[in-house]
Amino acid sequence: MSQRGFKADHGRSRGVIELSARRTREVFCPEVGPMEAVPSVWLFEGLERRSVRLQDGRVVKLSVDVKDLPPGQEGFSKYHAGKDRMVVALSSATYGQLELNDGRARFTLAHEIGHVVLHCNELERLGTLPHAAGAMARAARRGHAVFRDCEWQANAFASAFLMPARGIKQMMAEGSLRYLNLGQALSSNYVVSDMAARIRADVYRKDEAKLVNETRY
Amino acid sequence: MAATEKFGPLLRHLRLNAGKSMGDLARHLGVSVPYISDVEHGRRAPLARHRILDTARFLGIEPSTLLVSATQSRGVLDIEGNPSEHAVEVGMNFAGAMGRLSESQLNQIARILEAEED
Repeated sequence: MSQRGFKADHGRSRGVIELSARRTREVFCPEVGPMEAVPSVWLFEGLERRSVRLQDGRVVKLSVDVKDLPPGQEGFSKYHAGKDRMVVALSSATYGQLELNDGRARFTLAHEIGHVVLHCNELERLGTLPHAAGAMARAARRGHAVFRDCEWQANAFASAFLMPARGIKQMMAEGSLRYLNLGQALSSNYVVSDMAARIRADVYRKDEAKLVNETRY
Repeated sequence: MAATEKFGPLLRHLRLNAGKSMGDLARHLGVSVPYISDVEHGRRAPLARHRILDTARFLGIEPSTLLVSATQSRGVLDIEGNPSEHAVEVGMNFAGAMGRLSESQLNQIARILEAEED
């Protein structure tokens, strides 16, 4: 998931992505507070009843799919022009892991949600291109800045969606987390992998104010 | 949701309303999760009649809506058992005429079938 992807239409700071992830969480999981872990399978299945809004104001419904994918491919998101749906697809293996509340599978799902939320316009455009042209556009590796990269943005979204900065701040204020063991505490509280939790803890320590205040820069 | 809705989206709608995941239904029917996803996306034919009946029991719903939708999606009727030549002939005549029958005639036939099920 550290691979560079195609260039997003807009560069996004971590603060902007934090805001987008919080709003998405509030709509997709309204019953889950910022200090709680989002559900796994029911977050995925429930996407069927959610939608995203394109830049031109058009609302596109989401749909979910489970497919037998080649080894190593955990999921993907795309725009299905025929059905006018944004599709979040998981591999059969990832779905199975999601049923077991596996941290990596949860991150994969949140990453794909990040794509349909942040990159719905790009997906709509690429999804309607002929397959070969779409594949070429997706495979394009350009020398763009990291904050302009779709994969980086989707990873930052997944991290913020699963482990909201406001929730972390609240838990620390209540003394229910020990700062030195932040990564471990995040992994256990939000049901994410040790690696995802460690990265989030490092980012949080470095940029706490920007994340909590959801600042643009 | 109307009975004429396509089978796949109808199944997904009824399954979600019943609070069952694709994994729950797949395990109950002894099929894979991608199989259920394929059926719900219309990439595979609707479930066979016995699986629809099993699914309806699992979801706690009446099977009629799913059965009607499956028949309309397939454009064919499932024939159970080993009917006689005469039974097939009557069935074919009925299939050919059912679009022209009045509500009252259809109700008469439905009553005969209900009495037979009892």
